Amino acid sequence: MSFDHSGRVALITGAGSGIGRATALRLASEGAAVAVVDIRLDAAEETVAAIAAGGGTGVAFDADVRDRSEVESARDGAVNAFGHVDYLVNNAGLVRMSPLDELAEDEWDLVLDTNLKGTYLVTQALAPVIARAGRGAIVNLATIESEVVVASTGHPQVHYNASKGGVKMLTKALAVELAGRNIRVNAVEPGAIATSFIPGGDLRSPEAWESMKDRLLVPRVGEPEDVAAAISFLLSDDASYITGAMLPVDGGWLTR
Amino acid sequence: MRLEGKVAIVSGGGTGIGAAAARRFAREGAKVVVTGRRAEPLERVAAEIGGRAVAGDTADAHHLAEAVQVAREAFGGLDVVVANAGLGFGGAVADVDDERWERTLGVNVTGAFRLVRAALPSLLERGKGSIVLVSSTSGLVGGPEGAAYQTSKTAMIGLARSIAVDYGPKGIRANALCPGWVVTPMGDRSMEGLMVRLGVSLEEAYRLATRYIPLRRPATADEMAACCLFLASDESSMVTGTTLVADGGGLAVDVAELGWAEESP
Repeated sequence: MSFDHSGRVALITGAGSGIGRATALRLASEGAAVAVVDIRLDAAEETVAAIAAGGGTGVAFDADVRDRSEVESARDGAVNAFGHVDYLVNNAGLVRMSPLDELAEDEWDLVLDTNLKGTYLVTQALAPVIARAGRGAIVNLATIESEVVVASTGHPQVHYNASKGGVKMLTKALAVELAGRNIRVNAVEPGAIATSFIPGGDLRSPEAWESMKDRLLVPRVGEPEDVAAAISFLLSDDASYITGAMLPVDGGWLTR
Repeated sequence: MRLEGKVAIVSGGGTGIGAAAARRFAREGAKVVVTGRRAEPLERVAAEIGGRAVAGDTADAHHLAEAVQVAREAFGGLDVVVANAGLGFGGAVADVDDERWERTLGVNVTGAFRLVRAALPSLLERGKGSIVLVSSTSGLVGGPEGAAYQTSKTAMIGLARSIAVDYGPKGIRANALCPGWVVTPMGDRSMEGLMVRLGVSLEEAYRLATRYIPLRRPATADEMAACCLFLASDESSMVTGTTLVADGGGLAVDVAELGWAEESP
C-alpha cells in the first residue's frame, strides 16, 4: 500500500475493464471503498469480485454516463452503500475512428457524449455529494491526444481528439469552480497503455513494441496499473496542492 | 515505504522544500545525502534522518562530485537526485547586473546540470534512476521583475526534457516539479517587499499573494516534498520528461499572478 485511502469512498466510471478496473483494485487495496460503475453490470460485478478477493470493499452499479438518471441512480446507490463519496474518477470513455468525410453525426455524438458530456454529467451529479464530505478530489481521464494528434497510427479520429481536448479544459474549469468547495480536479494523460481500449492489437506484442519503442522514453509500454498509480497519487493527500493539472503517464511520449 | 532501499541526493536540503523532501524520503525508507551552502542546517537534517550532510556551493563542481562520492561510499550507490538548490533575485532585465544574473543561472541551472552530470554514472550503474528538477511556475508563465529567476526556472524544464530524451532508454527518468508559492525561507524573503510596502505580517503577505489562486493559500514545503516523492518513486515509472504543476490551480486561471502584480510598484 502506497497511499492511504482508508475511510474514503471512490466512485469510478468505466471500472469494469482497463484503467478503471486497475484503479478500482488499487484504491480498494489502499483502503477505499469503491463504487464500481460500468455500462455493463457483469463487468462491474467482475471487478467487485476481484476487489473482494483481495479483501477490499466494492459495490457494482450499471450506468451509461450519457444518461443523467442512470448516473444519479448509481450515485444514490453509492451514497446508500457507503454513506458518503470523497473521490470521483471519470474514466468511462471510448474511441471510434473515422475519416472526416465518413464520420457520421451519430458517431460524433457517441464519442462526445460519452467522453466529454459524460464527464460533465457525472461530475455535476457527484460534486454536491463530495462537497458534503468536506473535501475530496476528482481525476478525469484525458490522454496524450488531448495535447497532440497521434497521426502515426493512420487512424483519423477528430471526434476523439475533440472530446479529449474538451476534457482537458473541462478539468481546469472544474478545478477553478470547485476549489471553493474544497474539491481538487486534475486529469491524467495516458499514452500507450496496454488495454483493450485501443482497437487493433495487443500493445504487449513484439510487433507493437517494435513500432512503439522509438516513441517511448521508457523501456516498456504502459500498463493500466501505471495510470492507476498516478490517479491514486492525485486523489491522495500527497497531492493536496495540485489542482487543475494535467499529468501525462506516457513514458515520455509528449516530451519530443 | 515507497523508497525502500533507495539512495537519494537532495541539493538545497538544509531548509524549505529540500529539507522536507529529505525528511519525507527518509521516512519512506531512503538513505539521503543533503547538500547546501550552510553546514549547520544540513547537519541538523542529516542527523535527524540518519543521512549525510555535504556542505558546499552548488555552483562548485568539486562539491557536487563529493556529494555523489559520499552517497556511494556511505550508502553504496545512487538512485534518486533532487536538484532543488535555488535562489532568486528580483529585477527586470535593466535592473539585473551581471553578477546577479550569473549567480542565479550558476546556482539554479548550472548547479542542477553539474549535479546531474556528476550523478549520471552512478544512476546508470543501477540501470534505473529518477531525477527531479525543482523548477517553478515561473518556468511556465511570466511575472513581474524576475528576469533571472524566470529564465533559470524555464531552463530547468528544458534540462529535464533533455535528460529524459537522452537517458530514458537507459532507465533514467527526469521530470520538473513546478511549485507555485510555497512557505519556505525563500518564500518568506519574497514576501518582504509586500510586508514593508503594505505594513502587513508575513502571513498576511502570503494570503495576499495567493488570494486569486483557486486554493487560496500557499503550499507547505511538505506538500512539495510529497510531489518530489511521487516523481522519485517507482509509482511514476511511466512519467518522464514532463512538468508536474503543483500550484493550487494558479496556472488554470489567468489571474494567477494578479495578486502579486497588483501589489508590485
